[in-house]
Amino acid sequence: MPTRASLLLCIAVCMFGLAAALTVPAGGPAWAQSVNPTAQSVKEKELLQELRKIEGRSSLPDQRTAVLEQPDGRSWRVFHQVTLRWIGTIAILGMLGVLVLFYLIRGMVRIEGGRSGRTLVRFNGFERFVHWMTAASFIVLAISGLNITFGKELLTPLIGPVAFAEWSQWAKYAHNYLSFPFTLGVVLIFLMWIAWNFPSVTDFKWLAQGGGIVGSKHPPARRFNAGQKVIYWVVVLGGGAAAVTGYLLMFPFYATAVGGFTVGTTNIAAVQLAQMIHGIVGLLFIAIMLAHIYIGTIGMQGAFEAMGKGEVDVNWARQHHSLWLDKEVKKGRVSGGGTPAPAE
Amino acid sequence: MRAFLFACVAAVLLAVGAAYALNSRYLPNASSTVFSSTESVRL
Repeated sequence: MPTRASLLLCIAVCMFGLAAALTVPAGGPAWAQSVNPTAQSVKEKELLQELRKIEGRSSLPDQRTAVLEQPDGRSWRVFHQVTLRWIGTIAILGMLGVLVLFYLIRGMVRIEGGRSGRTLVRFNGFERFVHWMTAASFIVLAISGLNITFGKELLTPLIGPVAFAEWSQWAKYAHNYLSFPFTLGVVLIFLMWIAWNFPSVTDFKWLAQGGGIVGSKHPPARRFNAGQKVIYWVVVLGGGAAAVTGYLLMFPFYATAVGGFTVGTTNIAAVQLAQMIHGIVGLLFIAIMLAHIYIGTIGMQGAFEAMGKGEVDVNWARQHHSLWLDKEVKKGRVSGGGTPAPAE
Repeated sequence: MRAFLFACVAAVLLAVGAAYALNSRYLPNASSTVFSSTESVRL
């Protein structure tokens, strides 16, 4: 016969059992709770935050195949599919807009007083050869480079995916191989004209007066004025940066060993960084060269002759490079008549 | 404009020369990096 104590014990056990049952979360039996589908991804997220990538093990000789997740790749993809396109669009269309506006307002900068009929050598044959080799390579590099950034969006709807793929393949070959004459040209330009391209006080005075392009004054300048010196350094530094990063992209298995990166294998982050710099420098380079082409052709009367036939009119030289003209006159290098009046 | 024509010819010759060199036996590893990033590792 149960005693009162044993009855109380039974009630206590039942109460404890009920309380224990209530503390178990709803959702199924205990075995189901042992599998947490999100637990593994949480660990991966923590790993990614710590390591920036997750690597497994690979039996292939190329250990890059062991990289399973590299979240920076998504940031890089957004950069070259969105950010870089915006940079290029703003830089190139912005520059074109400024040049059109400038031409409509200022028009062509003409030779004041007309041509004198006397000329002097501005650039010799070798200088023109180097300039045009670099320029011709650059134009193909620019078009094929723009195709990489904008081609898929702009050309595919027009010519279809098959033609775009074929064109892009040839454009890529041209981009790779014409980099060699371009780089050689940049090196030669650097060596050939460095002596005339160090900044001087004359340059600041030239800039302060708008270079004679903005306004009506024509400030004195030596062989290269401040604007041309800017172009020179853009070509040397921008071209140099484009070349270095371009070759990093062409030869990733060698080049990413440079600068303390892993020797012998590709450092993906280094390649992505190289591509970002290459893209930005290339697009800004194109925008600045548009201004160079403008002022060398329709923007200034007589300017193209300097790189065309190599000679310029004395009046053009007096207007734009008066200090250089003075030196050339003293050296007796002016042809077609008597000695011209010294530049002011 | 002879300088321009010579320059264009020189650019093409240099490009073709580079293509030949990078895809010949002179620089066998380099050629694979130019054409494909997956072929450079040789077993």
